[in-house]
Amino acid sequence: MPEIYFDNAATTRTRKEVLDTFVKVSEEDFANPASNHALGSKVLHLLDRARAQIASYFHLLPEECLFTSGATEGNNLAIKGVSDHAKSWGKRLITTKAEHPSVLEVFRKREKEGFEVVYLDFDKEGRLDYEGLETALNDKTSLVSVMAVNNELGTIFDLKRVFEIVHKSKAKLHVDATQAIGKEELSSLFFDLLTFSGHKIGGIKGTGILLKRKDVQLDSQILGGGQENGYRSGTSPVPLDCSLATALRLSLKTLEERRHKAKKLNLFLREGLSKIPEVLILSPVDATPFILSFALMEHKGSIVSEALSERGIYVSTKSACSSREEGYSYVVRNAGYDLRTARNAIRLSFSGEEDLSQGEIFLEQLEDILRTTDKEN
Amino acid sequence: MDSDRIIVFFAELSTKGKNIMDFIRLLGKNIKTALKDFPLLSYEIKKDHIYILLNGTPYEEVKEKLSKVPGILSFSHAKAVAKDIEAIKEESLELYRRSGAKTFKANCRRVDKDFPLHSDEVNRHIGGKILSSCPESKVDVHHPELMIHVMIRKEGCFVYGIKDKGIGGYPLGIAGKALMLISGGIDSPVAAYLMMKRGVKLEMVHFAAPPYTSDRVIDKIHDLLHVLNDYQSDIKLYIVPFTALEKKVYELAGPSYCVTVMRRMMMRISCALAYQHNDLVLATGESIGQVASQTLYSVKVIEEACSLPMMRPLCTYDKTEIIDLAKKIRTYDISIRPYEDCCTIFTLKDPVTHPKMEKVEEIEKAYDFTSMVKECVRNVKVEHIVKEEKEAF
Repeated sequence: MPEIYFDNAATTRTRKEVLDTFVKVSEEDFANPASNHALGSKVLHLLDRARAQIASYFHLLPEECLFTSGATEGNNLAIKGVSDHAKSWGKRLITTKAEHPSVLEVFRKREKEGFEVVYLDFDKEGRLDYEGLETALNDKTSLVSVMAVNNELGTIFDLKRVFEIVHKSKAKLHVDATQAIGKEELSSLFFDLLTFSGHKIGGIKGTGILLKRKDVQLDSQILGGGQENGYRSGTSPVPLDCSLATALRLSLKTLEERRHKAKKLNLFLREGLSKIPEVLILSPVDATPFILSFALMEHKGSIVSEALSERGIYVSTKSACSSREEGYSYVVRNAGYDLRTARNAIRLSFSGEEDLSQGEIFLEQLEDILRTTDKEN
Repeated sequence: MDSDRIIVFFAELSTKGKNIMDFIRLLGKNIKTALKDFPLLSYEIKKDHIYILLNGTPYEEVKEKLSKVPGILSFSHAKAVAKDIEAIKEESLELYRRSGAKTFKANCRRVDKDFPLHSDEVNRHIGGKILSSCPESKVDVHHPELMIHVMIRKEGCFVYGIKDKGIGGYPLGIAGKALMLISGGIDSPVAAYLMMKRGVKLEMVHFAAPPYTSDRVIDKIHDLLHVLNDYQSDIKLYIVPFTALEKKVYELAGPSYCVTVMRRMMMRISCALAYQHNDLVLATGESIGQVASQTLYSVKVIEEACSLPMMRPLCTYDKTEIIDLAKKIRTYDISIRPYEDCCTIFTLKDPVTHPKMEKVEEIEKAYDFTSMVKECVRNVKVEHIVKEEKEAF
């Protein structure tokens, strides 16, 4: 049975070199970098080098790079941190309806805490409501949060344009780049703060980065020993942090080649899927090639994805397995599709290491499943 | 088509007469060392400038490294264009727009006599193109804000004008070798930078007093030298085990004369190392009058123990000027990390500002300090500090 893993947007296989770095540092340099002795010094130096390496890819200073446990923590720190610090003057916050729950849930809580939040619309073609952003920005806006690449549809937002608009005001721009790192060029990212996770780029789960330009003021959310320059306390997990540097290095090194392969596979699948009458392709044409989302008009998404899983093909859907729950993708809905479409959307996401034969098998199996499975009434 | 290139203009070498090729070759060698991470680059070393052919390498990345090579006055990104007057006019216009300048002058050098137009005609074409395309533009033949250079050779044609600043100075190594005393404070790394800029290859000596001074000071020194690696790619560091000697000095000299005598011992040890390793002079980050040991009276008494010339690049700088320069070369944040160096470990209430030579001699005669100095020199630890691999993991 083939094992076709088309769920890389959920998480990726951890690279061997990343694990090697983790094991090596854990075994040889286990001391606490905050310890005063020679062992601690040595480990601190490793941490500094990992930090400097990651910062250098973004042309930032080492102090502008903070290690976190992942994008969710980074998003919480960025959004709460900036708005807490600015709460005396900056009670308006702006974000989009396309964001990941680790951003939206934070904004919803902020609303309960007395902040005013504007949620910008976006459309099926991947355009953000840029005019809405201009209108919503005022001198009380302290933070705008816009993701770089949407995790469900693969939509790419024009961060350069957003950055230019936001910077006409005092607000800072936070970018959740979790699905952009390792997929799109770093030069397309314009930001004051940026978050990403290690486990989406071949790294270990539980690692991540928050980039924060030095002129951005932030209130720390996790207090304690003052690590990460006071922004995020907790003993630095140096083996994990070093492994993240390896993950990022390899992801960037293989980016061009993986992008090329992902484009080929994406185009091949789009062609194949468009031949199936009940399929509606949801990802815009200029979405990232690594994510391809489509909806089934006559079958239930959860049943089809279950059937695929039985055949060793792993995809993602928000469609719920049980009749008690109504699962649907709010991103698909917010893009302008109807509820039925949002309930039956299936997402394929690639690492860029797949070949076309996997695409062929997927299409064959999908067609077979659609033929042999009962339609939803 | 010829490759885009960088034209490197030298600083002060024109005064050197017949040694000029030695200078230029050394500068070329240093440039190649600084740019060794860019494998596609190739070089043409000429009498009046050095060409660096980009062969696809992004200019901005090379610019960052090149701006730290001592001996370079300025450098320009020269775009290769087709040997065709329309292409030359287009690129000149593009250059004018990018520069943000208002007044300009075109300066064509036509080395290839097969090119159909004379230099003057090329200049007029360029002038016409810019004046007609940009209403605010003006020609200024005396003091133009932007001088547009066009070089038409047989091999190709290129256009340049915007000059990026180098750090000036002389190629590293041309002036000889010196030994600098480095404490990890704000001043000595700045002094080191100034010496390197002037073409002096430096070795560093640091006085450590463990366990009173921690390993973290050594880490600080390493980090500072890694920053200075951008100017001198390989820096030798001598770490002197100073604890026993410093304690003895304190015991015999007391809090008032401790610093004066201690610094005389540091002079002796440094001179011994300099002789051993062929360093021509010593250097420090001292400036006049900041702390007790830096008054002219103290300098006189301390330097009496030094048998080599002593360079003090910062001697007339104000503290604020030193700090500004430290921030500019990115050593400031490292220097202010709070780890004690040996000069601060004994709290000295009133160190003497006008030391008496007789008092100093009396203290030094009271013990066999000569043997202790020899012991320090014998036990020196030698390290080589080179630029760390950017990608450690």
